[in-house]
Amino acid sequence: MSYFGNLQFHEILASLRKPDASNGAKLKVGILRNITVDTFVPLLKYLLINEGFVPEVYTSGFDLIIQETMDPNSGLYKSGVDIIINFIHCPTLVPELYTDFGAFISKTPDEIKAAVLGYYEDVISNIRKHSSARIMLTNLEMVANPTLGIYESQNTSGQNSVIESINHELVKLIKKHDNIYVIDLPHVITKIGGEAIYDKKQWYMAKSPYSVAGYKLIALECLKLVRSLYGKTKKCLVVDCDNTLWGGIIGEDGLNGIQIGHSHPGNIFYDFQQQILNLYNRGIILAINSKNNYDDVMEVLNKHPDMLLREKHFAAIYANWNNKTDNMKAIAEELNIGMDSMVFIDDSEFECNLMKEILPAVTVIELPKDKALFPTTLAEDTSFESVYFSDEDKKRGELYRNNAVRKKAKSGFTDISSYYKSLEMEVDIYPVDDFSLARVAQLSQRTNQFNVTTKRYTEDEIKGMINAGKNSVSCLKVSDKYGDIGMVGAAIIEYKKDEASIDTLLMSCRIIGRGIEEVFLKAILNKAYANGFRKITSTYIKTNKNQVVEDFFEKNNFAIIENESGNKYYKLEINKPLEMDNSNFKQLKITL
Amino acid sequence: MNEKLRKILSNVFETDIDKINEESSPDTIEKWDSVHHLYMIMAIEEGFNIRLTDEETMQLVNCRMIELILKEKGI
Repeated sequence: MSYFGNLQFHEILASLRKPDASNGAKLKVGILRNITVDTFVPLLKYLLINEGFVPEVYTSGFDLIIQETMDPNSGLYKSGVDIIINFIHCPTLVPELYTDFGAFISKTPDEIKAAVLGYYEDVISNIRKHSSARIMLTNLEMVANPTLGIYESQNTSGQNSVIESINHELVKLIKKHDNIYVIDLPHVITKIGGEAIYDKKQWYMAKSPYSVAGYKLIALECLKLVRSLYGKTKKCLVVDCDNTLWGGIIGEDGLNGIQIGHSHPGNIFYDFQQQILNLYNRGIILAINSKNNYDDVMEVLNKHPDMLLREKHFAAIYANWNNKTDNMKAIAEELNIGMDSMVFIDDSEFECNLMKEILPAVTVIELPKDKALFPTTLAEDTSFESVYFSDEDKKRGELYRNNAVRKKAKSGFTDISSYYKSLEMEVDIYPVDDFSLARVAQLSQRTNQFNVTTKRYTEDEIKGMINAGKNSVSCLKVSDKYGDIGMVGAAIIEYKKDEASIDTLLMSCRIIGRGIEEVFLKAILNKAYANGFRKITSTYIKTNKNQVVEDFFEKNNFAIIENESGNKYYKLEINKPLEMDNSNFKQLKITL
Repeated sequence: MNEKLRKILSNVFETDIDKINEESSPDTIEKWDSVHHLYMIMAIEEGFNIRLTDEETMQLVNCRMIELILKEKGI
């Protein structure tokens, strides 16, 4: 129960008494009940405060659910209420289902069902006459020891069968109304156990049926609903690789040495990946943030036979040697997601603490020392809980695979120009600024394909170049009708005595082949021209990744001066600004 | 008096820890009402990882008695 920060009940009570420094949103909660809920109230408050709310909790009189919901002047409605939590304790409400077997067999199951559902319906319609607050209702807990015991299990008309069918009907009932949600007690009890949730002594002493641990879990269910209803559901899971997605270290253990698959201990990571895949399938965006060689990670994603998660599942893959917090910022920017929508999961205490320290808005899940608990740790996390699950959610993973989606669109066009036009691309070419500096460095670090010289620079090195005044660093940003693609290109021109030399020209492989390359090149050439340079030189340095730009300069009218074992040196004379074809773009903005 | 017990009681009853001693009881501690009595039982059970029987619970009428019952349980 890390949601309570491992605090004991008395410490939670004490923490609530600290002067309230939060300027978060006020949340007025009304609690209706036919039991004692004094234990629940501080636990709920604690969770809501931690979530940034300023809770104000009203508790109805004991067993006054009907009276307080009917009376427009009751304390429940008096100060306006955002959420009404109904503790409808069914062992009290319908003893025939729980304790009074004589009453149970003297009625038909349908009679009992009708009475219970009628009660819920009354509570709902009473509230709706006076308030549009969000309503949460506890449903029916099961009987741990039904009177007919094992006999009941062999039949369909026992106490628990009736309880189950009422719970089923209750869901249908709430669907007829707006903004009503079930607090599913059988679910809670499945998690914590039928013995742990109850506190018999407190029940007989004070009509408080549940243990502290039980109330904690019920409060957590309420928190999940509140989070979802107030738009606090997280959107993106960012995962580490080594000892998280798989066991071992790919850089040291190699493709055949890492642990992932159907036998122990690889099966732990397989189950962990299954949890992540489940999140993907319900609309959570996945990303990788790993200190690793990019190619090593890609090799695992694409070639390891037992991986459940593949390259296609990840909207962003940051496997490099950068600070993970910088990667996190880059992922947020690339996917256009706020830090407060991101969850980071890692086995390293150091990385987790660093993330919490530098990017406090990010939710951090530190995996436990015991690897066997990895899958459960993620499964029990509530960050992605939502009361919604739409068709859009099912498709989100696919939507974020921008490349795949756009390629699909491409196939429907007979000529490339109309395809480009259909993308409604907006291209922005501008000089580097404080916001883009780190990204330029990062692009230089991780761009392997469309990269003419593959020179790797740190942020400080680029800053140094700018300060020296002999370079111009340009950035390329692209968006299209599918969404913001982000800053995906950079160029560095070095100004020498009587020539301008292209030191770096790179673009993310995601936007290659859209006609943006030529425009970007011409833009930086025109910048050099504007600075008085007529002679341009450039270089292609061959790597085993950058074949895509092998002929790029030739195609753009550069002449080869020298070709030395695949490395090519070029020159170009320009005597007037180069003309640009912007007909394929919705907008082409150049502010160099 | 057991320091952990004093800490728990001071948290539960919103009372300065210096004011918690063996003589403390519902007569001397303002917040020691029925609700906080429940809180106290839960906090003691959780804090010392013990279960108090129904009968023991009824004997928790002041701090001296609480200490005595805890001592019986080896605390």
